[in-house]
Amino acid sequence: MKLHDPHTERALVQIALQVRQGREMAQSDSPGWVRRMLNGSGWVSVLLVAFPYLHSFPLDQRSQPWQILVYSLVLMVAAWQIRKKLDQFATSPAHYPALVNLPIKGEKVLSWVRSRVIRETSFVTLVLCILISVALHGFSMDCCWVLVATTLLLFSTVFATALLSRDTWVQRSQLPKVWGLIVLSTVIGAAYILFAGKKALLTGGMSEWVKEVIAKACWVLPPSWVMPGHLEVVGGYLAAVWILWGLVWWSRWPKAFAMMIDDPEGFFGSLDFDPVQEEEAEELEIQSQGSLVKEAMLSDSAVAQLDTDHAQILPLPKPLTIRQEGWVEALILRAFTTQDRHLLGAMIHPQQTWTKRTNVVMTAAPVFLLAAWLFMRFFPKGEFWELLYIWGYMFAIGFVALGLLPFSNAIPRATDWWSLGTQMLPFFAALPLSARDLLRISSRVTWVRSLIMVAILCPYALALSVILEHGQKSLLALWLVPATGLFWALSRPIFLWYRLQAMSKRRRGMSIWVWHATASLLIIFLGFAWLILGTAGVLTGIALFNRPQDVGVDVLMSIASVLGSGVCARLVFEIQHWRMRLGHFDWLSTTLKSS
Amino acid sequence: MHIELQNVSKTFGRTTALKQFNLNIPPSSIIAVLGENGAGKSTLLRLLAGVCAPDNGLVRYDGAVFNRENMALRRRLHFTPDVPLVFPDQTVARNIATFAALHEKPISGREDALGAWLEDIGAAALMKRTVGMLSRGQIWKAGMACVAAVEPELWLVDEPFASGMDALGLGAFRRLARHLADQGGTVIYTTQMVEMAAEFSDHVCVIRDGVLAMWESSPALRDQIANDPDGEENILRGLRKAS
Repeated sequence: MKLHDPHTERALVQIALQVRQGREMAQSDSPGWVRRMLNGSGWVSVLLVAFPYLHSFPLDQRSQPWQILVYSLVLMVAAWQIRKKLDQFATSPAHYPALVNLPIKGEKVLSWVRSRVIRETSFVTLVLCILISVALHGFSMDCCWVLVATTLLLFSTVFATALLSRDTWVQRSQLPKVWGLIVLSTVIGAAYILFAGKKALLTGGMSEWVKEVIAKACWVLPPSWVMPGHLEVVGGYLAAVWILWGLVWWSRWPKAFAMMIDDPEGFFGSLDFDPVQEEEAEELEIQSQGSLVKEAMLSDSAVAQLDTDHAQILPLPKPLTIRQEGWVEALILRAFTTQDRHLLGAMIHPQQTWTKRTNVVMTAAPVFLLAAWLFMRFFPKGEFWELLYIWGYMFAIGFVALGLLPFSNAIPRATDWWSLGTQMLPFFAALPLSARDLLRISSRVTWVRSLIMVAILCPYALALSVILEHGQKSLLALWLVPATGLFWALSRPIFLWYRLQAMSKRRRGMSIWVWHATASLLIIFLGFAWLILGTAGVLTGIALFNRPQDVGVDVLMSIASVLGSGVCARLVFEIQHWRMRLGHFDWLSTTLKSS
Repeated sequence: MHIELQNVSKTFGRTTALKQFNLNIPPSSIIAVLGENGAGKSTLLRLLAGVCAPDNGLVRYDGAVFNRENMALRRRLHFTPDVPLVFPDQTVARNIATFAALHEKPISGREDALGAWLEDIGAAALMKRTVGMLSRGQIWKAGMACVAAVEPELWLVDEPFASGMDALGLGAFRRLARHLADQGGTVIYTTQMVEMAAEFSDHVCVIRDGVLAMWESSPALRDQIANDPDGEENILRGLRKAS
């Protein structure tokens, strides 16, 4: 057994010996206290982000929804870090072969993995929870037990979220996708605040409707359930169920995943493929061997003259491409040449759910419109109905927008990993596909899907706003939706850059560190410019309705901003591509990176 | 395809895989790359395939400098790693068609020849099987079937003789490699088996500690094995005569 990470190898061998000698977990393999407390640069960044929010604003000037959102997101990041660490130990190609070969039962190994992850992550999580708990209670130590209770609840919710984020039901409910979208929106919001000045965070600095949206969006994030304002309402019950469900998951985890180590073929087979039917395999093997024995008797030159009936072998099926049963897939395929369809097939998993999702949204949209009309016509006014109105409005817009927004376009298969023992190779690297091919295909799919989104979402959002009597603001949809579609499609190069840099491995060495540093600085600068220009370009639309006298200027500025943002995204990709051509990257990896 | 490596070096952390490596490979030949474990054989192949980039030096194909993004050159070569890269959720037949399309090598007009190769490789019986359900040896056969459809000008193969293929598959590998070389192509494969390398190649390239230790024609190598009782070990050490 040879691993690429000698520390891990030593640790695992030590564990195996301890177990054999009946001294399980007798000695901890200490990686050093600094590393244990701040495991990974991610933690440092989380702390760096958290501190300014804790200390920047006096208590009486805080806008609480924004504060709760930020704290919840910080804790969500903490939960993702815990999950990432579990994955890293249990399934990374560098560790997995060792775990499989250890002379211990899988459940025992994974129990050790669980203990180690809890040990390594609990300190920082606890510190975060204490800090946030103190901040949430106005930096007052008057009621210690409340602080302790909040800390413990936050801590438990974070650990529960870490495992529950992969639960089948949670996945089906699309919650992880919504969490990702909230993170993205918050980053964009933070960029806007940087652009507009931090007074937006102060009391009265934030529009009421933004405050309302943030307050409602927070409810989707589990850590917010135990924060003041939420705990007293339904949050406490939600948190209790969540924590209990999480506890069940944490206790079941080693046993549930033991099969991955004890019977890897059965485990992975059950995930991807039907189990091989032994008899069928044998029969086919015999047939194959039979024909081969015959051929083996032929000389080299005779092979070309084989008189075989090729009818069973040829013609070959069509090369891989996406299935075009659905109208969205058919529309997308029409945008491609024959050769590009083959490239598309190599990059995308053939079965896509684009049409299905679009059809679901198109079926739901009239239902929502009807419900909105009935609501406005028949339901009385009151606090409860107002709350229902806001929730319903957010759901009706969010459901349709999320269903139509073109996520993860065109390259999931190209970024799949192919195992070469303890090393991994992305599909993209070993196929005759260039980064420009990826960009071309991916952008084209995004453009078509963005157009579909605009064609459906624009009239829907307009109709919904008209029914809900938003007055002149209803026309905002006609600007915001196309601008978002344009921004999204023009941003494709920067998303592709992200995928490419996650797949590749930067070469090390004195000769190219200057390149790395310069390119990183440029990319950070362009990345900020992309985000700020794009956000400003989309949001300028709001000004269109506030300053009717400057419509021409606003429209021009907005379009220029969105286009400028697209140029920045493209420049980031071009930097990466230029460096790829210079050979600054390798494509082999010893660790599975999420791309 | 004429291949040239000029002062190519490659390091991984503190490990030097190749040091100032120079090599000139003529077209229409089969090259066996021989070396001990960790000598740098697979690294050489990965550099030639563009999966890794050299720290220093150049790789030239027919005089043109190669980088992975040069698709005109990239389509002319095919890399078979120690587990051949194929689409696991697709059938063998679909894989063959897809690889031919990706390399822009239409099947029409050469159906008979391809059919004969598929039979020879043993892929004919596997055509409707999903690759993910095949054994390792069968995956190699599927991979070879894709190569037969692509007919690359440069075929880079990592450890074909340790692939888990049966004797019939290995025989088919030899015939396919020789066929490609006869068509003007180049086949470079790695192995640790000295006798196999001497028997099945036109030239043998021995790498030792990342350096080209020997470049010899296979008849000369066979002579050395025949006349030197420790011939095989000495060849792996890059020694021409018994020490």
